Amino acid sequence: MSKEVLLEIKNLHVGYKTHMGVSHVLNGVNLTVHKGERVGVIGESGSGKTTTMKSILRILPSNAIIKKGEIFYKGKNVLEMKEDELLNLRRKKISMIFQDPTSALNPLFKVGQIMLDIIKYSYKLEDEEAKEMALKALKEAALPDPERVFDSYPFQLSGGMRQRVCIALALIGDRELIIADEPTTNLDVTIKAQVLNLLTSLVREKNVGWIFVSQALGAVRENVDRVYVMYAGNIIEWGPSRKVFSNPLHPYTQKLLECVPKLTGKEFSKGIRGRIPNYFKPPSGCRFHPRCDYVLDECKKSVPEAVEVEHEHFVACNLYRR
Amino acid sequence: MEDEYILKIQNLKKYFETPYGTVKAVDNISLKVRKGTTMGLVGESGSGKSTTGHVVVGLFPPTSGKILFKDRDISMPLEKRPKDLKRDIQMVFQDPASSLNPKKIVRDIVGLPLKVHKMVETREELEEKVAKLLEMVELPPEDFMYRRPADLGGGEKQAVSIARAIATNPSFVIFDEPTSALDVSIQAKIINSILNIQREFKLSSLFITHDLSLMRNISSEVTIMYLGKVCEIAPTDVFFQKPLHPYTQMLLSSVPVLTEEEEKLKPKGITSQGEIGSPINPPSGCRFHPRCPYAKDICRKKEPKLVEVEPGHFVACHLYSER
Amino acid sequence: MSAMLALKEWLKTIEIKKKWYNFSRSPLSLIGLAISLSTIIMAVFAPWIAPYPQHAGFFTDFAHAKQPPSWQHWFGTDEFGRDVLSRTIFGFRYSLMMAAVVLSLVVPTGVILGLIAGYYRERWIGKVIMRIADIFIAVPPLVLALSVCSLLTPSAFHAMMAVSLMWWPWYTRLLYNITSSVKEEYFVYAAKVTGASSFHIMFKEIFPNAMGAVLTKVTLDVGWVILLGASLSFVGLGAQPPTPDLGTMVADGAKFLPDYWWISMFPALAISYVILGFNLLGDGIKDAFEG
Repeated sequence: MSKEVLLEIKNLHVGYKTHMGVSHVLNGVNLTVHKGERVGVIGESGSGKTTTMKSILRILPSNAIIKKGEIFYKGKNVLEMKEDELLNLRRKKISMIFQDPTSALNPLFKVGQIMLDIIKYSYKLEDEEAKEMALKALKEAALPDPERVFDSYPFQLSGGMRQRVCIALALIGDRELIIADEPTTNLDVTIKAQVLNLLTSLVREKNVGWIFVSQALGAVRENVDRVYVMYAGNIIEWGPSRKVFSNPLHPYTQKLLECVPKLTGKEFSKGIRGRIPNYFKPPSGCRFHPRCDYVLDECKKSVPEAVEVEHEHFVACNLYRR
Repeated sequence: MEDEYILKIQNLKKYFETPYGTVKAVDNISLKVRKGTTMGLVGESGSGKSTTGHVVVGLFPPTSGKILFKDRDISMPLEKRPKDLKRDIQMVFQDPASSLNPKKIVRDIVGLPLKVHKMVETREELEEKVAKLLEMVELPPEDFMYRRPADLGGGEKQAVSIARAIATNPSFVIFDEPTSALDVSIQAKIINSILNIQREFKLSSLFITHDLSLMRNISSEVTIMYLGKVCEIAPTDVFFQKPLHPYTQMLLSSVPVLTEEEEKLKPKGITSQGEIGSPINPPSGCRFHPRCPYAKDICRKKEPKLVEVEPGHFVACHLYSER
Repeated sequence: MSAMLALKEWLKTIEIKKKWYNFSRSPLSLIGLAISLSTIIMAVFAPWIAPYPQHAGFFTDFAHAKQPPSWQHWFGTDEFGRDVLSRTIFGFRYSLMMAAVVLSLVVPTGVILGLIAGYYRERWIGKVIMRIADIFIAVPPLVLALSVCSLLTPSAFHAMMAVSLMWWPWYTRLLYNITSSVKEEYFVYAAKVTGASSFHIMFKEIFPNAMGAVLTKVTLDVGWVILLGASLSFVGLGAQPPTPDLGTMVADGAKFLPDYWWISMFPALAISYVILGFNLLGDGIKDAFEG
């Protein structure tokens, strides 16, 4: 498999300014997406997943500070891009699907109008061509009766259909990277399954890179090639999805997987003691050490470096050093 | 023996009038909860599972039908419900953000039921009892007693909600998706507290959720609802071995899982299709027929009755009733 | 236990600190606070601050009438030779007193009616309250106040009554809206389920959630009540001479425009000053509660 790197995040540090001082959220995030690869990012809320994703498109809120790090998109640093390059990136190369399909579509405009505006703006097309493109995209998103959807207001569609419209929008043109931030969290179980199947098959068909951010561990496991586990602003473990899920290495990943209730209903986990750290005064060294059962002295001192434990399966934990 | 049931819902209907038409949120359902057990009520949006909980607890009076609690009729509006029943039936709500009054401190939130039912007299007594309740949900009282909801995480808020619900020592608690807004690690903690409390208090409960894996771990019996109707009722173990209703199978096959072992429990040969219908204008006959891969003519015309296929295992589907 | 109490205090300070942070982020809020405080201080300590306190009432010194601003009289003197600065400072006193009286009548009435109307929205009582409020809201405020005042003998007291009569429905409407939405929150459901009384739910559960909005509105209204009061005085339906009412002063001074501009100009600026101050302060309070 030729592995052309599409996106590479290197040592990203991002914080937020608030009334209580600066919160140091991202603490050296490293993440790579290859061309056409499906990558999952899992972690609990507040672990910095969304902050990382927003950094890629530089759509962080105004009180965010990028302290350190680089984000290379096809070898070009996004953080140093000029406004027009950035716009081009957002309009044609990378798109984002958000958690809430209701607020992602302006309720005052018909779906068609929203799509036409975006297409015309990005590709400078005539009405007819743009409409054709929009209908094609809706059809690809497995929306029954695309013409009717095109002429509907967002509120006339169900949640699942709205998210399909968002997917159609995200896949218009020749996108190279799709970022989906919890795309199915607000949907019903059976609809969730449909939408995820659709997204996976479209991504595979079009050979675009896909970052699937979610807390739904099962959904990530079933739909991605490689997975990154985030905890408190760090990537603590990454590797091929099957390996990470069947053989979790980091104590946090192990605990997290235990916490998910199983259909087999055997033993039920007690959860992870403590809570996600306070980002104003994050713990020294490994940020998981106050909650870790295997904590060593060195864990408190320095951030552990990543070790490749098995082929392409990395973990940032002192237990696996040497 | 009739007494073994703490709650009996008989032919319950709850309709809401809206500008778009009548929403048949709950349409003629019957179910029973055994004393000291947990009934899992599972369904997707529009299934009427939360409405059922709200009607039982008295937030809305039923449109028709009867609810019997300890053999006493509780189908009246909340104002007319005797106070001792309000003490005995409590509820934990879904959304931790809206469950606690943002302007009050934890002591007053948890203490409210104690004050209403005059179970404490002095402030010291109140603080002492609240401290005990907080310990029960694993919140150290010295840390949490005087905090406001804004300073609490989602899991902590839900723990406070649970403490409030058990403050009056009720015998029946309705949990309405108490962990759906929480992270898995926090969910595990909350579910553990709930399990402990249920054991300690010999609590009976109705546990409303959309998460089958979670339900597997918490309830002894399952009721599956779809668009205001019950499709299947079964003891949990039986249910996972032999899900009968096509909707139940579709639901189960849609659950993303983490292990190969679980993979085996997922019914094969059925994939999720179609949209959930509207409770204002539900499909005729069996409400699931537009999405059902096995739909026959009769399914479009006639509504299937809930029949007992095996002892304790009920299903409402023409595949099993009219054979 | 003492550790617990210390924590309690600390958490309280956090709460205040956060509000203050949100408030003080905008320099305009701080300016508003400064202006409002200055007017309140001037109003309270008028007899000590004003250079010629006796000029506030009946006082004549025709020898020094209509003098332009000078070092003795910063704002000049009026047609009776009274110091305009002193009268303006006393004017703050009357204006703020008017606002205080009106708002202390209007706020509790409006708030209670609004809570009841919102809580019993579906019942007849809620509907009746809101329809009555609508009737009052439909009549332009100045017209209503003018007609009431002209029916009665013009006096500061009647002006206050008239203003109060047209002001309460706004609080009713505000509380009605907040109550209607807050009563659907789960914590209200929880209180109902456990058997708490409607009184408890309205005043202990819902009302605290409206505090921020009420406080903001009260602050903003201080300015508007003063303006309306001044307008009534301006047309002669409010406080009567020689009361140093800002509106009356502007009206009296207007006769001497433009030659003796200072007699009306300074009281007019004073009105703007108060209104500006309380408006900015109100915006700041809104930020503090919402941020």
